[in-house]
Amino acid sequence: MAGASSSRFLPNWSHTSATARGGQVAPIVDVILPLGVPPKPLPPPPVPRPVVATPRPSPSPAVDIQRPNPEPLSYDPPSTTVRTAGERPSGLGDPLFAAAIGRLIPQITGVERAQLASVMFRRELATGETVFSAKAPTQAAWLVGSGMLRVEFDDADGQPQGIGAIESGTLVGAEALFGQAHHLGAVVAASDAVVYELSPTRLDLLERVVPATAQVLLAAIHSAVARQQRAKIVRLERALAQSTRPGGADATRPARSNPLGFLAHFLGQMEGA
Amino acid sequence: MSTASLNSLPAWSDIAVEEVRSFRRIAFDRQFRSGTVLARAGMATAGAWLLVGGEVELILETRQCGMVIDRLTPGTWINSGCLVDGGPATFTAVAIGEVQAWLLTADGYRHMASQPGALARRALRQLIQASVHDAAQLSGVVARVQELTTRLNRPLDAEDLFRLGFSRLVLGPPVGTVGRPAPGSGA
Repeated sequence: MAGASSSRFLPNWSHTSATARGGQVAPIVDVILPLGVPPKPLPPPPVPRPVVATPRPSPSPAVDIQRPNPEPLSYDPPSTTVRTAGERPSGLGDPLFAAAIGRLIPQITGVERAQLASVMFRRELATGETVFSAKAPTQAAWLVGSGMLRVEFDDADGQPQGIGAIESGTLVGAEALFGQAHHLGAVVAASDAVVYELSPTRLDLLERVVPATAQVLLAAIHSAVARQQRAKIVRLERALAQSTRPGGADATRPARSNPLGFLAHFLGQMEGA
Repeated sequence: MSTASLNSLPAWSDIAVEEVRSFRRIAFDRQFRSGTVLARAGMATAGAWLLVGGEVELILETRQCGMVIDRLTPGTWINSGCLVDGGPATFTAVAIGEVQAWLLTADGYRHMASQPGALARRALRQLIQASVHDAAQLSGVVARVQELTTRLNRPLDAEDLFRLGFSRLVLGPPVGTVGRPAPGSGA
């Protein structure tokens, strides 16, 4: 049975499966999905033709198209390829994507990786190029594949102030996926970089088509955002480490009277574990 | 006390009965009097709170100073990031008026996230939304602290912290709950 291992992830796409096409292997089905437009249903499946009893060549042991390799990176699954007009998907064989998504979701399976690859799109950035600006309308989140990005916030004089660096495997601009209208800070490429774009439309599509994979991604994003929040607390604690407590005593010693210090201590223990 | 129910929240209005039942198995409803501290920054917390009724002030706390970074309304999660690592609360949360909230424990969260379902995806989306919002608020404070430190070229003192928006923090009532709402008043 073709794609037996992935059939539980593709409940609504069964009409494009090899079985529904009378056992024949069809070309890849591309769904052209303009940005901001909800996906249209796929055309009805062709009526199965009667099987003509012609002798078939014996399948090669190396390439058995009726039983695809269970490792999905080795083939292009026909029914999970979703393309946006004018863009190209990250590609199942892209090692940068595989490494980056593996850092975001350490326990990801091959099938899940293939499904996510079909909804995330590669973009190459030159040093200094802006991924998004402060207060710009949100459009997509970006998974960093390679290179380094820099987060900037405007200071009181309106000058950009770099407050952190982002490395491969980090998702930036996640607010775009969850209803926030504008980015608060800016993200700029600090070096040549490769990023993978995930738009809210494609996340919604992923959730409709393969909800289990979408849930895995959501859990990973929650974990990543929580870690980023903790990191910001540590950064704030460091920035305030030399400051004077209003009472005049050393502010850095008693953990309970300094909640940020207690958090930083906790994070230090986590990192050391 | 508020009798607001789970499905009175906009993001939960279309929730199925089965989802409500599932949520009730992993979360606990509680009510708080005005001024009660739901969570204290840097201290252990039982989980994350989903605010169902009333309002809560979210306070960034440091060096006996606090800065109110948000005033939360029903439908918002409090300290959502703590569910991931089971760490201490990131923010102090104080009830403004009478408050009804649901506590999702770290165990309940792990159970929910491990079971594919509409409830898990709905809750995860909201938890991320809350975490992203909190992180953005924090980024603003970090940027202001860094900018002021750079500009003054010296450690910040109390005056500087006050200038940044911090004020002396006085928290009276201890952390605690008033009790469970009357049967039938929850979701």
